[in-house]
Amino acid sequence: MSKSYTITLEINRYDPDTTLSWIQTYHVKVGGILRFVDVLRKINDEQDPTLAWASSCEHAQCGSCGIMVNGKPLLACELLVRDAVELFHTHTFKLRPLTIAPVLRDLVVDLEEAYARVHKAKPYLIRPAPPQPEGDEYRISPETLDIYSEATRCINCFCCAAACISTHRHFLGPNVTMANIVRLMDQRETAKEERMDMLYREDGVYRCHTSRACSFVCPKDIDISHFLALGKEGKF
Amino acid sequence: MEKALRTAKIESYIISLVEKFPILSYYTTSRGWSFLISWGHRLAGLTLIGYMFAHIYTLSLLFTPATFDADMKLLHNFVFSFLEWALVVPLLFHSLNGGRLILYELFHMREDEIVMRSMIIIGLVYILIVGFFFVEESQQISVALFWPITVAISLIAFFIVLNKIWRTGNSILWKLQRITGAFMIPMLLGHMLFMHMNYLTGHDSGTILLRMQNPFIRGMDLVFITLLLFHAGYGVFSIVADYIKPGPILRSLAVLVIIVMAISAFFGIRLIVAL
Amino acid sequence: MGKTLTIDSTLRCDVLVIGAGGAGLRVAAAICEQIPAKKIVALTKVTSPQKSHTTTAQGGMAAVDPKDPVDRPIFHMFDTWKGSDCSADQNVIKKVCDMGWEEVVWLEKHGMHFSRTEQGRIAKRPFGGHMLNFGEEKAFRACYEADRTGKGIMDTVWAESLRYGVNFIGQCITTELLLKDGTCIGAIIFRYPEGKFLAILAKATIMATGGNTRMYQVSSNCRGNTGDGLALALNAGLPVMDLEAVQFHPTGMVGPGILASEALRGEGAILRNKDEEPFMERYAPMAKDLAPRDLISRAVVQEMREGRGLFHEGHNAPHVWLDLRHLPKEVHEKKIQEVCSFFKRFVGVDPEKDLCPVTPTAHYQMGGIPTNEFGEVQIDTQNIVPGLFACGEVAAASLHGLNRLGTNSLLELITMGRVTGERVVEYLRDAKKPEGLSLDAGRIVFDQFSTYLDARGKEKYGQIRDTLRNLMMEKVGIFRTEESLLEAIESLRELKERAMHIPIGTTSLKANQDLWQIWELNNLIAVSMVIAQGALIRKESRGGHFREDYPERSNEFNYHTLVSMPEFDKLTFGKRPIDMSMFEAKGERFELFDYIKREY
Ligand SMILES: Cc1cc2nc3c(=O)[nH]c(=O)nc-3n(C[C@H](O)[C@H](O)[C@H](O)COP(=O)(O)OP(=O)(O)OC[C@H]3O[C@@H](n4cnc5c(N)ncnc54)[C@H](O)[C@@H]3O)c2cc1C
Ligand code: HEM
Ligand code: HEM
Ligand code: SF4
Ligand code: F3S
Ligand code: FES
Repeated sequence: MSKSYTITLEINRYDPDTTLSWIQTYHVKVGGILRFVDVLRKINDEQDPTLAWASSCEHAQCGSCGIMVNGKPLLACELLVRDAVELFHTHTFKLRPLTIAPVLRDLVVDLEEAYARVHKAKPYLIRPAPPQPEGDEYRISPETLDIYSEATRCINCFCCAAACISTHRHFLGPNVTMANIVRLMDQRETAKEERMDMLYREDGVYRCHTSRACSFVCPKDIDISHFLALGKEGKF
Repeated sequence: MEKALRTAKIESYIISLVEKFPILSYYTTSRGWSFLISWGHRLAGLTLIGYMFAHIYTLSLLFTPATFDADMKLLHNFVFSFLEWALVVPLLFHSLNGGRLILYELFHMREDEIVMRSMIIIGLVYILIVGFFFVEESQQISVALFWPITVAISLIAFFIVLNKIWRTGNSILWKLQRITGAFMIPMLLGHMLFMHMNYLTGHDSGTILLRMQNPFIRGMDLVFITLLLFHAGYGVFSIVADYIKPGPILRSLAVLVIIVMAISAFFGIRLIVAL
Repeated sequence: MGKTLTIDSTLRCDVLVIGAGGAGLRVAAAICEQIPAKKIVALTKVTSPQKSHTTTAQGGMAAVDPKDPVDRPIFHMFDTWKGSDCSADQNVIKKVCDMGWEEVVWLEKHGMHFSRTEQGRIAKRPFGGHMLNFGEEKAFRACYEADRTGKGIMDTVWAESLRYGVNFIGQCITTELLLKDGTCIGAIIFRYPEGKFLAILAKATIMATGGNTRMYQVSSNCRGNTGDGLALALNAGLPVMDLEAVQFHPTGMVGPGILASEALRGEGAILRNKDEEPFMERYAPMAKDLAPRDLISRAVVQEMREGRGLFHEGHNAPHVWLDLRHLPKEVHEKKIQEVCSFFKRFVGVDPEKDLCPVTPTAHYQMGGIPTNEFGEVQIDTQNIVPGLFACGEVAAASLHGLNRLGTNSLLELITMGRVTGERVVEYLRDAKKPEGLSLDAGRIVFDQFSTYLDARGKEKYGQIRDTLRNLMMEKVGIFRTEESLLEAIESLRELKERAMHIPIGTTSLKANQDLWQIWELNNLIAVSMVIAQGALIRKESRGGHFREDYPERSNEFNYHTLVSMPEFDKLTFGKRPIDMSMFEAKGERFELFDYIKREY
């Protein structure tokens, strides 16, 4: 067996029935290669079945499991215990729900509400270019694709939004703004003006101060601030 | 960026020292250095605004040179001198970091660590020079040489940025924020340097009044204060807008900011025009 | 204690899509394209359709461009037939393979970011079991978006439905199908955040709840793939088909079972045993590492059984190696970026330098709710259920028979999705509005929930879940015997009983994770039962179903298994013939579409 750790989790709890919130401490002994979702499951199984948390794919591909660990927004399903100990130099972890949407219970936030912002960015081709003749595909060179394909990897986990210096009130958020920018870069989109208007609204790219926390925390390693800066550069 | 900074020996040593402060290390592990720098930029901007108001107030005392000189004498002690010198820190930080942001956002310079490194070096050299002048207190400088050169460089910076972004779809105000920022890098750094060439250049009513008779200097100060007040005003608005939704409240606050800046402009410009 | 459970409100719509995954939303988009004004409601367990499991599919989607100079749709049809071990339905094979390219172009036109060739065309990569000239050499047939093809598809169909104003209801479970006089009139759902029941009445209902292999200890499936759709159908008295055919993917990452896509082997990765021997050369001399999954999975287990496997200390589990070290840096960085990062993060190895530990992982459910070639759900071989359609992994049309080729599932989602959508449009033309709920609506789920909420046993949820998952892995896994299956069935009966007494953490209905999971566990147990029973009566080995006591395929079993289980453990069995229309049409090389020998 690999090394095991005794860790302490201080978890923000919230009960929607009584609207009480409190911090509860759990001590668990776990293997270092367990993920935080496994740790939470272990707590459910062995100590407290009422502790609620969210996940789905459990391999960093759906963005359902974002939480804040010691202030850092991240995916609970890809943080291994041993990596967490190394990263934060501690065996005590403070777990909080993401700060971007109302809390449903404990660590679960209502991402549906956060998604309303994504919907605002119209994450589709508003007006696709006329199709190629004879049912062919469009021609897009790999070089062109390389310029923006990184941004298409976003899984809308909202970690970036939770980290951003300015998402507190009404910035659409790094991920949402980037979703708009990707389509500005996509040659198949012809509704460029509408997208430009969206980009340069008060809740758009001006709210970004290049604090780059988004790029720092993004679990998909997307350099979001780079794409937002492209938006400011205004050249597509 | 983090990684690159950490690999260099000296820097990683400095960073590890800085990270000894719990609050700093909390943010560097959870949000990254750039996040901290952004807050620094913001706080420095606000500090400068505070100084700016006080500055315009004390300068308006020039209408009665005796009071001005008396005040200056009062302020000419160790504590205030130190504070004056310390002002270099937020000023430098904000201007150089502002420059970095402009390079990053508009000039596609995404190699942040290289930019940062050069700025740290420029900054250190600048602080040393200012400090040296401060202690020596005896340099002579030709106003006719110093200011035209500084203004020329400032204008070049102004037009480079203007040329780069004018045609983009960004809001005019936002663009002006960057353009005025670029203008002020040489201008403000020069201002600070100049005022400390020797004590009298910056603090003696006679020297100042004499200099301000020069139409060129007047014109320059006029442009300077206008751009600065715009920059500061939009800066405050931009911070407020992060916390308040677009709507009546935000609009009222914007009006408030405009009024405050307009009042400052009135006093500042009256000084230049009337003296 | 007896909380009274009631239906909080009723919602009416034209179309109800249960399961807003790739399949469900392709159906929705197809409907909207023809009749945009219809009110469509799409349900999902996750917070946004974008988070559905389709988003995790990695490798690619097979489709042959009719203008392709070397590949032809008929090769694809043959591969699918052969891959299924002669148990897929040929009418469906033909339809899907013929439509494939058109659908790829549809996706591309609506914004999917396919990887490209130097000429700017959609790039293709080889995949297991896909070959040219009726099995001669590997074919470049899988269109892909790096190693996130499923995400590309999901993003596209999600966004298209969003554009047409489909109403999404997330964070809900569909708990009961509403059938009235044999017609489907909608469903009852339970919303997680508010803990309320909602009845949704619809003219047409589409089941697209996706996969369900969470009953296996090692599984590539998401937390929510708990067989809900199948359980709903079973509870409503409908049959399910071919559930015994579970696909094990040979390369799951040791430990959690996260998938290491076949695309890796498509790009040239090689499986090796303890002695670093590329052992697939022995099992499939021609296709080697690109043989179909069932074959490779068995080969891997065989290697382990014969002592040529390895043991992973950290995860306490056996494995073999997947070797990616010789692939060019460019491939690591661009074409298989996600999977490489998974290896780094979850296993702590760097695929560029180290061998990667892999083990077979339960991956796909070939069987499902039986439908005809238009996606209409069948109640028996002759009759359909009016108003009810099924599509995607939860449905069995059956394109895959008892074994699916990699990349054919995504293809099925979007082709059958459109076909089903078009059928729904036709159906809607003279479909009547459902009048209202029957009086006993909600009976099934209220019963279930009251039992769970009142249970006061000792044994915890986690214990039973783990017991089930180990049981299924060991006894109803890659290799099965009569003995192991009988044992499994006995244990499942017991587990079901135990599951009724799991003590619940809180009786609140709001965001009650415990309640939700116990409900899921019951679905898993029910579906496991059907898998085990189906496996027991199929006394042969075919595709994903392998009986050590009957290791050969047998013509006696040239049919699909139908099972209904309206109540737990009350099973009735039926058969559905395999469609042989391509063989019967006597077209090009029809003899290959007979019950042929399957070798690679
Ligand atoms: C890791 C992985 C990799 C894969 N790679 C490939 C590949 O490369 N090529 C390929 O062809 N295939 C691949 N597959 C298979 C393919 O991805 C799936 O078969 C396919 O995505 C299933 O799509 P679906 O739309 O049927 O289901 P899903 O996308 O799973 O959608 C199901 C939806 O139903 C919802 N749902 C479920 N139960 C309920 C309920 N009770 N109430 C309400 N909603 C419910 C879910 O929340 C979800 O929204 C892969 C599968 C996995 C797991
Ligand atoms: C010396 C040259 C200067 C440069 C290059 C510069 C540059 C910038 C830039 C680029 C920004 C935008 C940052 C963002 O969007 O977050 C900014 C913001 C700001 N600036 Fe300056 N600036 C300079 C001087 C000043 C001075 C002298 C003041 C005050 C008197 C000032 C006050 C502000 C304020 C308050 C903000 C808003 C900060 C925020 O939004 O967080 N700046 N500056
Ligand atoms: C502490 C160092 C500083 C000293 C000693 C100093 C001194 C002076 C003096 C003497 C003047 C009169 C005009 C002239 O002589 O050209 C002046 C003008 C001005 N200074 Fe400074 N300054 C200092 C720092 C700053 C800073 C940090 C700012 C910006 C925030 C600033 C903004 C201005 C402005 C806008 C004017 C024009 C004033 C007006 O027109 O009313 N100064 N300064
Ligand atoms: S950009 Fe990165 S951090 Fe932000 S939502 Fe997308 S994946 Fe998450
Ligand atoms: S963190 Fe926020 S400020 Fe900009 S660079 Fe990222 S969006
Ligand atoms: S559960 Fe899907 S990203 Fe963590």
